[in-house]
Amino acid sequence: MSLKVNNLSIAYKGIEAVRGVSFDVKEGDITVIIGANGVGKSSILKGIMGIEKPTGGEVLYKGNNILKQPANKRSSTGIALCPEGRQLFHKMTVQENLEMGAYARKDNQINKDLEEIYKKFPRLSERRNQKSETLSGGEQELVAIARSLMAKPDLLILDEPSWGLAPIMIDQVVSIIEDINKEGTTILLIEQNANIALKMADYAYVLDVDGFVLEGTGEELLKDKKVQEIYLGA
Amino acid sequence: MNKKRIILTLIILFSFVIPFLDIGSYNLHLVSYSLIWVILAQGLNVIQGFTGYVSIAQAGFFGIGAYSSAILSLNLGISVWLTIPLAIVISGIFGILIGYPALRTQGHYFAIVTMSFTMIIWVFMMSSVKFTGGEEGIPNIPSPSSVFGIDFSLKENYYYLILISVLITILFIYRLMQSRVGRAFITIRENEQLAQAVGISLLKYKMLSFTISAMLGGFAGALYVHYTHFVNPTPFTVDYSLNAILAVILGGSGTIIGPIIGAFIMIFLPEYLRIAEEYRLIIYAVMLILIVFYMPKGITNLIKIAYNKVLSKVARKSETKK
Repeated sequence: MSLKVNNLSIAYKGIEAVRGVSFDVKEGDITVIIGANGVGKSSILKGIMGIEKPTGGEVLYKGNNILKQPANKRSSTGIALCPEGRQLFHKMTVQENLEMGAYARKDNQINKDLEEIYKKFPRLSERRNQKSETLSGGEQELVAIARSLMAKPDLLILDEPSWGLAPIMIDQVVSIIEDINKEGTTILLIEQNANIALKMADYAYVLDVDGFVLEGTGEELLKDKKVQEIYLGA
Repeated sequence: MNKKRIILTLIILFSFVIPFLDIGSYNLHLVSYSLIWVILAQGLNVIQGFTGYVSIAQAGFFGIGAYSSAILSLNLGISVWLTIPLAIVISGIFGILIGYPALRTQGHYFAIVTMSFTMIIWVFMMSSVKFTGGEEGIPNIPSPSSVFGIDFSLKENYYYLILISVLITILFIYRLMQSRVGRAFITIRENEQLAQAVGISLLKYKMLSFTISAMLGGFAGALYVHYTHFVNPTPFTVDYSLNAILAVILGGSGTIIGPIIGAFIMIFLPEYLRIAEEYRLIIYAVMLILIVFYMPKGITNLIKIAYNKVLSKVARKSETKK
């Protein structure tokens, strides 16, 4: 088990945004959480990453409760976050953004990995000295994903990577995520776009205001009537 | 860039011959005072421009540095060459003490906390007469002792002490901003949550940034006090903190050249407007509003744009000739 979340609750000024959710992320899997706006998807991530302080529950990563560690230690334990909305260091160049992804690393393979990343994302190689704010939306998402890969994570958490992207870019991002997974990185994906997400998923959870209402393999959920009705518009 | 190097060398050489030019003691004084402000503004720029926290504490640190060096050298008879570094250390300690609570806040709240600090320091300077001389201040502050026969009580010679301090400061900031630490500052300015996600300890780096900024403020204060030989609380009010912020913004915050240009403007502009004494402050205010309005990224950016325009024009001309 890579990540195990037990009974996690998060409240903002007394109002509960996440009510005791539990889920598992298996080593080597693509695990997906889908759900509509405002059901607490991003809050769960913030809780795992230590950005919000949970009001209850525990988050076990490789058996250790990571909630006790400060947020900035996540990166060195092997968890990387690719936050929603393509958050980048906008005034920095593409290359600087990627280098920042490896900030917590202490090995000397960073330059080698950087070249690997450029091989994988030739578009970014062309733009390496450009300020990241001058890139298109799709390219920015690539930078965000590439930056989180620079941390060499065992577990990569992606928050709505398809957000605001053109369909053709979404396909590219999906195939990138699948490649990353094939190379051995465990993935936790949070998405609103259920169609894309469930196709990728080894295992998936459907989140509602009251917590998880459904779970199963990606295929099972794609066939599920309720999911089709609510999330796939069929 | 070779061109940049040549320009830089010329500016440094020029700054070394300024005392030999016949500009008069008043102008030389203004240049010296501006240079002291360059250190102050460079310090503020670390927290404000590079880390993204606008601090109104800089005049407070300026004052702490000034009074520390003055009292240590005058009352305890310690050599000025030692009291200046001591003043930097003391300012740094205050930086840590103030930074620890202040940096838990953000935005306006951070500004208010740091402003309160400057007010407290000022009240302390005014009221603890036994220690600071109160409003009347401390006179007869010694100059640094002569080294190799150079008498630092002469303003022309003291100018070089200030100039070298400025050059060291700028070199330090330049190296700092190219280091891992400098990178961390900028990421905090750009996106705190993301900085945390890539493994940067926010409190640690914000504290470091604020402390460096305090130390440079104190350095400027110490240089100032052995230059004027007199200190009272007047130049350490919140007004001067705001002027320092303005210097950083006018010049171009988050750049190294910005605070240099900004400091010179903040010192020279009000002095030269004395010709129109009665309207001085009005003209000054209007100019500041115009600058902030039309050059939000500071004068450094304007120079950059102009430079690029000239370059592209020259390039176009040589192309049409072909």
